[in-house]
Amino acid sequence: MNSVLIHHIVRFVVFIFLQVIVLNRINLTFGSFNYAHLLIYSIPIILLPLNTPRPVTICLGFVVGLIIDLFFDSPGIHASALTATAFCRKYILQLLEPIEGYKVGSAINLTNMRMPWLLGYISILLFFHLCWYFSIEAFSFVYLKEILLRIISSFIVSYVLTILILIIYNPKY
Amino acid sequence: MRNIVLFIVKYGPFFLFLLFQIICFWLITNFNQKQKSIFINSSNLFSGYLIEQTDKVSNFFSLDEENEALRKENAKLLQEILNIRVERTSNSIDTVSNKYTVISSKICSKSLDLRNNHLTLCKGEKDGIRKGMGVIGKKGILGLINQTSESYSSVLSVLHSQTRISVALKNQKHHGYLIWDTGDPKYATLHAIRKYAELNIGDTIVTSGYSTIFPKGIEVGSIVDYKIETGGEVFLTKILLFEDFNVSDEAYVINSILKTEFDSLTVINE
Repeated sequence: MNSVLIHHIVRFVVFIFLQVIVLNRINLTFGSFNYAHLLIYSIPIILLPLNTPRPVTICLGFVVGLIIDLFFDSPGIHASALTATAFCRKYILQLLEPIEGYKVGSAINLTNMRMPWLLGYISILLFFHLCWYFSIEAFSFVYLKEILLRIISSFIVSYVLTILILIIYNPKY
Repeated sequence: MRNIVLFIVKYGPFFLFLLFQIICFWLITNFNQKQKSIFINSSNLFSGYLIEQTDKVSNFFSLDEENEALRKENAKLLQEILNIRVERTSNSIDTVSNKYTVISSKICSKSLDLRNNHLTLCKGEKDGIRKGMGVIGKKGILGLINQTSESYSSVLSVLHSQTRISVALKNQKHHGYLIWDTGDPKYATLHAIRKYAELNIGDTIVTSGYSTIFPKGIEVGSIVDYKIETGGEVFLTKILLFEDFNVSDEAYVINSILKTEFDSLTVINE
């Protein structure tokens, strides 16, 4: 149990550092197309164990979001998006629940879950997170086209990166 | 108590989520320049819209008072104009120049289609209206007061077969009198203009000022058609009345201060 906790804390720290030190400096600009952003700091929240209490998930989302905000210099925006993602996690899990149910206390990883399930689950939450983030970031639906462009392009690059990371690192917990 | 605890346990995550979102919203709108300005702008838009709408409603309720105030204002201005005109035209310093006061009123009821039409004003003796005063509307003359009660007064309209109003051609000395015998509330007939007057279609007819009912120079109507009365010495002129009796709802009663003096003299002469 203790090792699981430490593992998750380390994972949070690693993802935060990865996001703010490495990914923030990668500039995905193709000509005038600068809508794609690599945002994968929601993955540790998404991959929390199934039996994590919901309040803990939500608080974690808020805190991690605030930390990310510190580096992005955008107080509240990432926190709002990540809190919403953490809140919705349960509903997505319920939606995708297999007929036989989840194994008690099981971690979300490739050993426990089948690949298509994991892909679907991550894509839904990641997409939701990006939707929320870019909507809050624009703070107005005047730029709807731009928001949609950002969401879709960012989703594609972030999703690909996430899957690569998962395959390479294949978390145990 | 147990229920409250159960409730909180059941919906705790939701309230937590809500709380964090509120905090985030506060952070976003306070510490981010772009979002802050958007938030302030759109809330201003919203509150501005709200204030405008409520203003519209409250304005509607105060419309009556507003109108009354405007009528009073108009009456005051009209009075000023009439008196200035009198002062300008009286050229000797020792004549007592006539002075006018103007009382504004709403028109309570009116008739248009009868042979003899009347108007009723919502003000009467207690507001200073007396029999024989002239009544004008926004654009032209309406008639003269023929009966008054405590708080109402009846106006002998221009559209009455018995009304004779002394009028003159603007900028010419020729004068005649106006009779309504056309049956159409828009038109009246001008009688007794001598045939050597120069008439043109579109000439303006004004009150002559030969009686004290109306001050000199109030516009009445314009000439639309004229012909010489068969075998006579005078023109028969069709006049388009400026005042639209269909829509007129405001009246200004003109009180000449020297009226009683003037009238007593006329009576002696007769």
